[in-house]
Amino acid sequence: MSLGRRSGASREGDGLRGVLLLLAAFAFLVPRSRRSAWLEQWGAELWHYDQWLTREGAGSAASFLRLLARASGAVPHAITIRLLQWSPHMILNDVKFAWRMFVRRRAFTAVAVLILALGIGANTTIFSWTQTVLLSPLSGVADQGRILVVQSATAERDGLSVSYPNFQDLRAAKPDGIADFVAFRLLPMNLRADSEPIRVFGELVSANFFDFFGVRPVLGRGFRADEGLVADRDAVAVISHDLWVRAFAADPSTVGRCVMLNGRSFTIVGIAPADFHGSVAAVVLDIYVPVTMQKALLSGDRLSQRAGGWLEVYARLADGAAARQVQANIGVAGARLVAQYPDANRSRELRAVPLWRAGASSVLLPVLATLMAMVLVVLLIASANLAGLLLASAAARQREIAVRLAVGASRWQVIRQMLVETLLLSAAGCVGGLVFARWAAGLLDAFVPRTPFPLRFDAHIDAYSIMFAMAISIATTIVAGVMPALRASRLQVGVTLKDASPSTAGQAGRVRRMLVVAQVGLSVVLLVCASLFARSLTHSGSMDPGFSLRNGLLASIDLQPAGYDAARGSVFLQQLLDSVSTIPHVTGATVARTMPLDLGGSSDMTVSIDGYAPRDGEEVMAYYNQVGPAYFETMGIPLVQGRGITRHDVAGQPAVAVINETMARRYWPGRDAVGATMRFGSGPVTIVGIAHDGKYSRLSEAPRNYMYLPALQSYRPDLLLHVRTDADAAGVLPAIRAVVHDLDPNLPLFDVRTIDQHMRLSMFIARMAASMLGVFGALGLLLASVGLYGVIAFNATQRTREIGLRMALGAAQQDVAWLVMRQGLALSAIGLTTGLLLAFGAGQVLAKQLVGVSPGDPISFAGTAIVLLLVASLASAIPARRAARLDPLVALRRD
Amino acid sequence: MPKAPSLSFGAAAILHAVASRSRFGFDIMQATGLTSGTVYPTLERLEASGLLKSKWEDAAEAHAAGRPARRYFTLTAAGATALRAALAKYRALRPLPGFAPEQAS
Repeated sequence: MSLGRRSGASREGDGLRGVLLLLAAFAFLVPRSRRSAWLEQWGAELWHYDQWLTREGAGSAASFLRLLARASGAVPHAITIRLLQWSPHMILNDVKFAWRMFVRRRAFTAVAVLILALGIGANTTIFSWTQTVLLSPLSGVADQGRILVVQSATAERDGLSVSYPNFQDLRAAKPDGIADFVAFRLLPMNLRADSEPIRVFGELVSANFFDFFGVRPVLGRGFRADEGLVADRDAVAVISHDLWVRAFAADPSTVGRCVMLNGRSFTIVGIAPADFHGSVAAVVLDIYVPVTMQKALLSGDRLSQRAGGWLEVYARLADGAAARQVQANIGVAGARLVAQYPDANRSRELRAVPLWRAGASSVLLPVLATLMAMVLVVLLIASANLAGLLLASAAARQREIAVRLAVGASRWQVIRQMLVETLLLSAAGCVGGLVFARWAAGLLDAFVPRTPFPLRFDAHIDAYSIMFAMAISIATTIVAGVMPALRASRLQVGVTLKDASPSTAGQAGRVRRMLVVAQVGLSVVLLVCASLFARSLTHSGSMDPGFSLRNGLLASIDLQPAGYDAARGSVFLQQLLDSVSTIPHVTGATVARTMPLDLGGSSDMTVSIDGYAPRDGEEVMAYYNQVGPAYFETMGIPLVQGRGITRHDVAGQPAVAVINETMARRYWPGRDAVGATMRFGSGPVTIVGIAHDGKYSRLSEAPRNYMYLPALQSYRPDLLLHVRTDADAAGVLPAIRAVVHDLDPNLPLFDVRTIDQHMRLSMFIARMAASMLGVFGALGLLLASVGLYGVIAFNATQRTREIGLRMALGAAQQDVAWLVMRQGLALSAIGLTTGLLLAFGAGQVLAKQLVGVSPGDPISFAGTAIVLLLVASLASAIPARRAARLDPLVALRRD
Repeated sequence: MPKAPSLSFGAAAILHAVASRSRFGFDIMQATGLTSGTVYPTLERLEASGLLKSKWEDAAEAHAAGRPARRYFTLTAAGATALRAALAKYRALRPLPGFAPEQAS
């Protein structure tokens, strides 16, 4: 901060020195870069003034005061310098100028906004899905971030249900930081209002259910606290808004009506709001019944059993409570339950996890993470695309920018002007993207296949999504806008102004071509990944799940509402299977509790095996299914040893079971499991056969212990009829319906679906990933081809005079077209090669998620290459055609 | 070219002064009678909007003349356009017949 340039001062009064010292104290007001210049300027100003005052003969005191008054102008000066660095006035001018540029170049603006809208829209869509699944999986429930899922866990398994007595004790204990607990159990029911019974999915819920979720019925009421006290007393139900409209024509007198649920009369006391779909993420439920009515709707008497869980439990954090502390408190409460009831709760603990770590959310999240990564690649392509457009526009505006620089605009001003333009484009793109995302958010549900229970995600655009869209818009501005702005401001004014045709686009042109290559390359990566996923999907369809049944039907029957007891029910089932087997084209029929790969929870139980001593803390458990006669033959599950379940395995006969290979190997290593006994509940169960291993819940699961128990031995009224056919499965359905009708006219078949439809369910997530990647691949390809088109068309325009000259000299139209097109094809080829290499790398990363397809799958790679080249040819053919149709006379006259 | 921004009277007077060869802060203040708190910020704004440009005087030259270096302002092409527009607008800046400046005595 030297005042060195005043070295020539002939006289320097004390007054001046004092004022200058004072001034230096205000130097902080000036931006650092301008500080010394500011001091120098004021030094000179005050020196001249001091000289003048001396000439005027002013006294030293007066001089000092007048110098001080003069120096006071330095403060507004300093502030002005600082303000000018970001003056709103100037920004406003920039905005006005940008607007004029947009209006003048409508086509450019429209394309840029469209590109941004697609990129931002796709990202916002996936974000809204992720956000919905992650943060608000429950529709119509406020403050879901404060809900924890309370699960029981053993050393080997977690995510287990909780028993009713344990839930009640937990609720009574009120651990610190918990406002309340709620319990529920998802359950299909037969509802009969007037005529035909319909199948609905509902929940058994604790009486505080609606209060817990902050949901107020739109009509009638929720449950009263006393309706959760006495078993089997309060036959009341709240139905969904949707069911109210669907089955009761939105009749207000529905409240107070009686309906039959599984053959028992219930009074409807309330209608839930339209946006509330129950407490299970992504599942749309229709009816809610107090948990105390369990016996009427679900087998067994479970309210008093402490061992074995069957309820899902949520906890809501109290105001100000931290999740981490509360998780610890729940753990302590769990430990207390173990101490109090060591037999029932042995080796179990309680855990609390966030809502998104449980249920459908946890299944979807890995897929959404992949999609989010892919959609960011789409945004990258969009940014590269926009950067290319901006470079082109900067090149077209070289002269304008050169004039501005020549008349004294600073580089910073030019950069700022261009950034303002990009920011405005991004803002418009952001709005467009939000409109797009608003529409596309609902598409998540379009991917969900027909499931036995209705799935819906209800992804939507909320404040978070809007903030996300704005954030990525700003990021895009920076990524896409800074480089072109810097380039534009680095113009060599003299050269540009002298040169009439802006052919200096050379360097910028090279950058643009590189950007197009990048876009093509990235879209190739997307397309290859999409194709790999699609092919993996096809392969998982042909993967061996351990059973060979592919052609057939599944239908649910429930004998309890129809009034069958165990004895009559067993007889009926046997008759049903006998009759169905005689239908033409039916090659096998059986019943079972569940069909493998239904994505549903699987039942398991603790088993004690005679002659096997578990290690310390080891839990011997097995998943199981209850199956009818001829199950293994109908399903096509090979028996490795022993026999299957037959029609003679009924109540009163010795208890038997078939186990799978994994279980036999684990507990009878090197010994014969057939003939061995194990225990669960009462009495020994003899193992009569060993079945081939299979996949039971998901294709991706690890081998697990599995048991098949005779359905006729431990009677179940609700079973799934499995029919194997040798012809079109749907064609056999009328005959099956007729057989059932003949046996009992009042017994409906529910949830009829073909085996093929069932198998799709197990692949729905893979299908969604493949479809979405396909959409992103197409979007990336579209953007890349627009970018390619832009570069080729722009270059063709730049070469108008040259083309005109060539034509005037006799070049044929096709020569000109080829001249233009060649460039497009060359760029695409480079992009394609790069992209294929990158895709090979990406394939290695995704290898774990692929089933039956190698990451270097030639069909995916070759198919992508062909599609890309076709699209690229089209994108370059349009400008080529236009160039070929130029009138040479007009072309030559162009400046 | 965007059309010339409209100038305040003070800014127009300063442009006028610069055009009349009063090229640095002190001189401009003498020529316009405006305060330092007006002249310096306005010079800064005019330069920022491209109507003026400034250049520091060569230090050696200033030294030879026995004074500190000055920051000289000159009109840009845009500044000239703006001044022309301002002169058309502010009649007070036009020469008035019968009020020609007196010759220095």
